Amino acid sequence: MKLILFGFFFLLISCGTKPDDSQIKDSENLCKYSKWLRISETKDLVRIEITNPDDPSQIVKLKLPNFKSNKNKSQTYDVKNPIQRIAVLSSTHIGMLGELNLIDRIVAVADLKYVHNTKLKNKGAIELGEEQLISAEKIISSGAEIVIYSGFSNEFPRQNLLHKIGIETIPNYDWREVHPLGRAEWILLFGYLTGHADEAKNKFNQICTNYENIKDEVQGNKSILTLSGNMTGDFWYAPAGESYHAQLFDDAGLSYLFSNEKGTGSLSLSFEKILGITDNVDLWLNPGFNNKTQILKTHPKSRLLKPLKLSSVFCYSHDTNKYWELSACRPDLILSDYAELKKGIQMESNKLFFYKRVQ
Amino acid sequence: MIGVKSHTVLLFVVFVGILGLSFFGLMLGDIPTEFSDLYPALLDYSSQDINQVIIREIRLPRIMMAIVSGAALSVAGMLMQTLFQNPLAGPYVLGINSGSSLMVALGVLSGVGFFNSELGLIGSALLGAFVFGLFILFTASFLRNQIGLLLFGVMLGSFVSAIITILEAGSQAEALKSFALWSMGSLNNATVEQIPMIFSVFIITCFLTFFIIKPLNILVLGEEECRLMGYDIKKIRILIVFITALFTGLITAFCGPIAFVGLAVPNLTRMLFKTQNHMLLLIANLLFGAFFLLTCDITIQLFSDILLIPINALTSLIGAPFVIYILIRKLR
Amino acid sequence: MITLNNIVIGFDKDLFTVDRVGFQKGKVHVLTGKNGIGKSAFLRTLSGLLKPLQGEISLDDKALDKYSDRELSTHISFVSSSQKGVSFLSVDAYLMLGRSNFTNMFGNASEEDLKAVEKAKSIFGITHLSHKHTNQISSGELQLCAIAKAYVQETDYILLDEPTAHLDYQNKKRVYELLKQISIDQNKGIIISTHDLDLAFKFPFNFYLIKESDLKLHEIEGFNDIENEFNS
Repeated sequence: MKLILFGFFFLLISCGTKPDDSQIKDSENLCKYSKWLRISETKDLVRIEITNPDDPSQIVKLKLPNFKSNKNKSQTYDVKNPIQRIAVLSSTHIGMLGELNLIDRIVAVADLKYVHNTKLKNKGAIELGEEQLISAEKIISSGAEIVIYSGFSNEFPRQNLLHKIGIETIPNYDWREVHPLGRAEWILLFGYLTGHADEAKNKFNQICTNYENIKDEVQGNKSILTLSGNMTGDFWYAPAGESYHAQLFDDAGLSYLFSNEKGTGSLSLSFEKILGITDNVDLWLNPGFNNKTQILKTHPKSRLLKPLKLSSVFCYSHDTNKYWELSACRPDLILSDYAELKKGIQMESNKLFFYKRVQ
Repeated sequence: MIGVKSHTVLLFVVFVGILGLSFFGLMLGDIPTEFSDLYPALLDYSSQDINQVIIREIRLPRIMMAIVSGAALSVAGMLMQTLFQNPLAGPYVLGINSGSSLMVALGVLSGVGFFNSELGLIGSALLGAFVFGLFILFTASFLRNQIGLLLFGVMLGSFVSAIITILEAGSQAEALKSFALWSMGSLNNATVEQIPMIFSVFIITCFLTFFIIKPLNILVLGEEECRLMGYDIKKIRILIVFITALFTGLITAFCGPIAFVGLAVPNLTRMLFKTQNHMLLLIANLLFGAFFLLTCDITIQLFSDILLIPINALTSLIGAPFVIYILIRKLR
Repeated sequence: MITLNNIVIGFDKDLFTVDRVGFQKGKVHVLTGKNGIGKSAFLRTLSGLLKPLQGEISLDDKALDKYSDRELSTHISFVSSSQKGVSFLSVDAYLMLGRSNFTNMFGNASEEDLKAVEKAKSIFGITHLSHKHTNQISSGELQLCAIAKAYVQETDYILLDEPTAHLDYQNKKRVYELLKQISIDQNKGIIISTHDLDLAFKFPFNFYLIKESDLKLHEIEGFNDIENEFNS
């Protein structure tokens, strides 16, 4: 009797609640490192979920057919065909599409002067300007089918209007990822949207392998004391111990000065404090300038810092466009740069991809 | 009525206070330093000892800037309040610091290489103050009365604000932050090598001010009274504008705009000493101004672990209620 | 003596003319006329604040515009009709400003300056106001202080624009008495403009009228001329 009642209850419950197809389960999620991107792929259906890091209840859900197989006509898809015309608002997006050789699909960017990719520079694209001041008309005139944006503020302007017209607006939170590989994993988003999922998967696996190989080689020996950041106004801003940059330093086997500080954002410290603890620093990374004169002009007292006196300062500022475009999707290249920098006197500067000595 | 004797005593007390706070400020900071570091840092310097470096290169210039800025801005405020016969005038009413703001904005926000790479922040601000100062002086020389000058300063300020807003709209986040931080003011920008130069300009300008004490005394009764006592009011006006421009331009160049000091302190000294004698007021403003800003600076240092307070915020926090108090008194 | 020859008084337009008049020392000269006719402008022109639109004014046989501002302030002092009190400016300090031609370059007073101020306060009966701030006294008291300030300037000529406007009858009379005394005892030329004609006429002053009919300055003898002017 109890069994029948229990069985009845069970039936009732399973009938009463629809099968929850609105969340990709962990077991289905093929993203290994990303915190905000989830993708599931079956023979017929690809589901993509992008979670808002500031409000986890806000999830953008996309349903696409699996472009490799024939479409199942009974489903309603958010994206019906592989995307041919994309508007991208961040350099990292350009970098990822570049790695997939899909530059010709880009029809609009934020600002052409920040583009590094030569193919795109030659091809040209419509300029849309700052995300917050963006004009819906310009987007429409570019012929874009989707707009990939960074989501600095909560809502993308004109989102509803564009959706009505059939232009999908998709946030890309790669910049919020703390794990370097999690950041690169967003290349899969571009792969799936454009019908190049396999290439994207292969490319990403390659990046992961490179990354892990370098990491295995160098992670152990933590001898180089590293400082990061620069003075802005009255304070020195440096990445905290749990941040993206700190993770890279750690994986590269650099002994980062603030690796024990909690937080994933920036620390703000007085210059006095920095001066007091940097006497033994071997390496200063990411000051944000590409020459000493600039550093000293902005903050003359920086001349007291030992790494500056010894010229062991390195940054990517001589080509910021390249860095911003490719650093997100190629963390393996950043790691290889760090591994090279670790060699000290024996480093070969022509092997550095992003970084250059600040003279 | 405070007698002359108590005036002197009070001024002396404030002077001693400045010395005391300076000493305290040199010892206070993130890195613990000893009293025994102080003497070598100042007089027998060795750049190897990190404690000495910190005292001499970081704290000393900051303390000196607090003293000079507080003093200079307070005197500039006094001059403006007497010239315009208005206790709500401050050192920025003429629009000198608009010049600095504009040049710094062009350098930081517009991305026009020349401003940023060639001149640096301080150079830009100095140049801006100088150019605008000349412009304002020129205007002052042919205006009939001081209302025109006041209006001109206000319009200049608005115009420059508009241009800066346009620059801001087209800027990247980092540039915006940079500019916003400059606008918050900072006593940390001057280096120890620049201090002698800054101090010299400050002293010379103070010296110049001594020469117009007598006409300033008469000026409280109005420009007409000044003329009736035989003064060339145009010359006096130009001299006042020139001195104010020197003080304000110097400080804004090295520190960015610092609010309220120039507005609150001259009112405070007038109320405290109950006088319009500009000799007494000049000295009082120099001392009280320096003391005030030093106090603000030390407060910021004491709180730096808990809360980051830009200097402008603190001077406004203390200054604004005080100005409201003046307004209420005036309206009664 | 201040002499005027073919003068046109005015500011941005002509107000009235003066053919020929001389104001000697040792006398009080009283200027009368309807409101707005230009009495203030006249006094301001004599004090050097305004220039005559035409003609020449001489002081002791030297043209007025040949004097430097500083020199002129040692010969002529002027008390305007509107005085404003300033906060934190004591009456003592205020009066000392009138000694600017004597004090040192920082405005510090000597024994003589202090004595002069004390004397003026006693003459004008304002000693009890010494420590009060000029914005804390009545307009009548302020007016007395303003006259006292002009007095300590020790000039040969004192010009006053409606000096009795804010005073009560007793003080009006007192001021006229004082002005008469000062002009005689110290051989000063005093030129005032006033509307208190009933009272002023009781004193042995020289009277002048700016007639509306011809917009000219006239010397007048009797009260009748005044009455005619103001009754028309």
